[in-house]
Amino acid sequence: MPGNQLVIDADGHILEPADMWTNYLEEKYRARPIEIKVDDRGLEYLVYDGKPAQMMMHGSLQALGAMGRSADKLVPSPERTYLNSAPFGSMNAKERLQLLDKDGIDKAILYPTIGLLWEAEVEDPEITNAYCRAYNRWIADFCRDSGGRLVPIAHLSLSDIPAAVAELERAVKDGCRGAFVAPFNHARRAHGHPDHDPLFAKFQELDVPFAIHPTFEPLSLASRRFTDLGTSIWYHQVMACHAAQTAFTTLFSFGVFDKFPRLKAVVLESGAGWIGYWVDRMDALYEVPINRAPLKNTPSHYIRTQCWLSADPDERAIAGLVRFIGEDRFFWASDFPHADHGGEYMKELKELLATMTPGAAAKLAGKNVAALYQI
Amino acid sequence: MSSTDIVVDADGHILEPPDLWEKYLEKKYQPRAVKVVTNDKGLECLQYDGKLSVMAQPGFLAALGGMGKEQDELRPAAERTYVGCAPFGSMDARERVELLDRENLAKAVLYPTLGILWEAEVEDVELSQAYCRAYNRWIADFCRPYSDRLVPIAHLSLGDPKAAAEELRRAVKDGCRGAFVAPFTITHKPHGHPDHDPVFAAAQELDVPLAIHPTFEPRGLNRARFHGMERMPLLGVMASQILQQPLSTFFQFGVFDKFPKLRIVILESGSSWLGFWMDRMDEGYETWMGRTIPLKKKPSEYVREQVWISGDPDEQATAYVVDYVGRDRFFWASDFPHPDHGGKYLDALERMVAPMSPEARRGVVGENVIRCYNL
Repeated sequence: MPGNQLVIDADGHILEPADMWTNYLEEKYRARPIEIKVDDRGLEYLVYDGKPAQMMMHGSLQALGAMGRSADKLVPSPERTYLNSAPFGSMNAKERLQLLDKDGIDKAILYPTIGLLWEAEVEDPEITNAYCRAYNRWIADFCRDSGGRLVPIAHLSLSDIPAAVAELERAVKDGCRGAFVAPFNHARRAHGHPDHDPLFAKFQELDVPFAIHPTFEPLSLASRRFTDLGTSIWYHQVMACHAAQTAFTTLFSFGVFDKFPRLKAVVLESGAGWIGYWVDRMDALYEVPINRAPLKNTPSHYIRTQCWLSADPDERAIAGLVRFIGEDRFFWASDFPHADHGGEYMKELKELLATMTPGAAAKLAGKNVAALYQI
Repeated sequence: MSSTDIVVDADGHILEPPDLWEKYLEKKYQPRAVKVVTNDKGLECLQYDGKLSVMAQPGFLAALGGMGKEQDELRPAAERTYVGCAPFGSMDARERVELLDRENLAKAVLYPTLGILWEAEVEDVELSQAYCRAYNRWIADFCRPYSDRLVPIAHLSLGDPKAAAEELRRAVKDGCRGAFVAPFTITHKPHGHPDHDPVFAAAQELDVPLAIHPTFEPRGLNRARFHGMERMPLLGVMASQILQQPLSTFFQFGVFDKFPKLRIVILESGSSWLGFWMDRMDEGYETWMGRTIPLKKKPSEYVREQVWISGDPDEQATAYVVDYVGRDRFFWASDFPHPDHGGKYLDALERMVAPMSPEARRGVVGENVIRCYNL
């Protein structure tokens, strides 16, 4: 990085301790934790609320921290455990700070790992919100002594809005600098739906960003376009950006940004290079007199004032789009230590920044995320 | 644009005569034709194979040629008919050429209107093939007197790949310069699936492009995430997602290695996202997930050689990615006379290409589609 440029990872992950929910759940829910068990073949699997997880294959927890590992080192085996496969910096705050130092990163905004998996399979809103609160207490503690370099973000669920409103207030008071939701909810209520207004109001009141982060999803939401792609992991990875795009778009369908003119919305881990098309097409659809959106301004106006996107550092199309959309809208993120991105994020980031003007590069590298999260 | 630029509409539409299928279907299928019928309220409905269309609402047909009209003029009413509301140039070849002359367009590549509605509701594979053949014979006849200006494109249905390959051979011999398929298949086989190899082999052998054009779709393919999505404003922006799915299956199944001369064209779903999609496909390819797809090269390398994309003229972001993706990859299209795009497409096109280099501009406005289709 040139000189002393501020560099902030807008979306890094931690691997939660296996006993985190047991320790951080409220007393009455302690008997219903998320936990890791071992099957008779010696392979680890996740249990939510007493039921074995269906979407996470036995023995695959060890792959959650596998950024940069080759496929042969991801094969399930009793020797590869969640704990012993966790890379340096993924589970320990002090280590993470050392990793940031080594990478030349000033700060990292942190998101969960197991926390991205369970919500798809847990339909009881009460235990769902208890799981969120447990994680949020833990991540605030995890980041507390980092001198502000590790930035805790709360996990909220749209399954119970009064509970989410209360939890956002509590978590922010406890140190969290914003919150994220999944791109789905079991009630299949669009993110922009007026039922969610109390939550948007609370985000606005507390002046913290609202983010959408991809997660595991109920299988019933999967596109039914094609069969024969069940195990096509590359295909599904490429498509994974669609979930957050769709959830995000419903904020415009329902006029959320007019109702909450100081709400700040962030789209995470879904790429950023689609936003040029999104701006153009939403504006065009807004002009067509069929099923018009209830908006005071063009959709692009809200994107340019109230929305931010986190780019993958290997997105080459970004340099041009920054000139079109605006320098203030983009972050970058490492996705460390997840295996769906390569491990060379700092090299990629440097290459990306080299294609931009110094001003735009400084903003993408860290200034934008620092300004938005006030860190 | 410069006055010497050759301008070609890469995706214009015609409104088929309501009796097209009755006249052009083979005798044995004539009683099962696509028809326009009138209900007891005096509103026109579409009928396929003796059954009323569920997706085409009564009175909707009159809006199909409604580009540039106001909402009041598009509401269903007995006095508004499909033929009565068809604008100049939408149903008559001589008129269309006159329209091209007025607009200073050299050529228009033509696609159907009713033809992009029926396939979602016709499950009889044999009848689908017959409907395609009827349209293809008709569009070849329609364009024949003006073959230097109007470019006929065949409609193929992947429900029966052998029949589709055979029809492509017949249609090209009859004058068609390429073919399109819907973004879904009635069999749910992904587009890139080896079952469809006969179609790819025929397109390669005949040296004609194979396009994917959005159509009406069977319910539940893409809008299962939230309740009420069918009527939510602005979700038309998800057209990119719909086309990204079939496009990506060509990589999943290694189609471009098997058919190194195959040309794939993406229509009416925006264009500036192609750079993002190249980045995203490459990114997955460069992790361990890439070893699960049978490609000799990075996905972006095939895109730059074998994929073209048609932009909406009101896309302003395309100018900011054209040099990155490739100046020879992009077309523009009017979508005339459909109401989901605005009517001032030539003004929009001027703005779209204004920031581009002369070379990029000449490619986008016409030279690329001429080269891709050997026009």
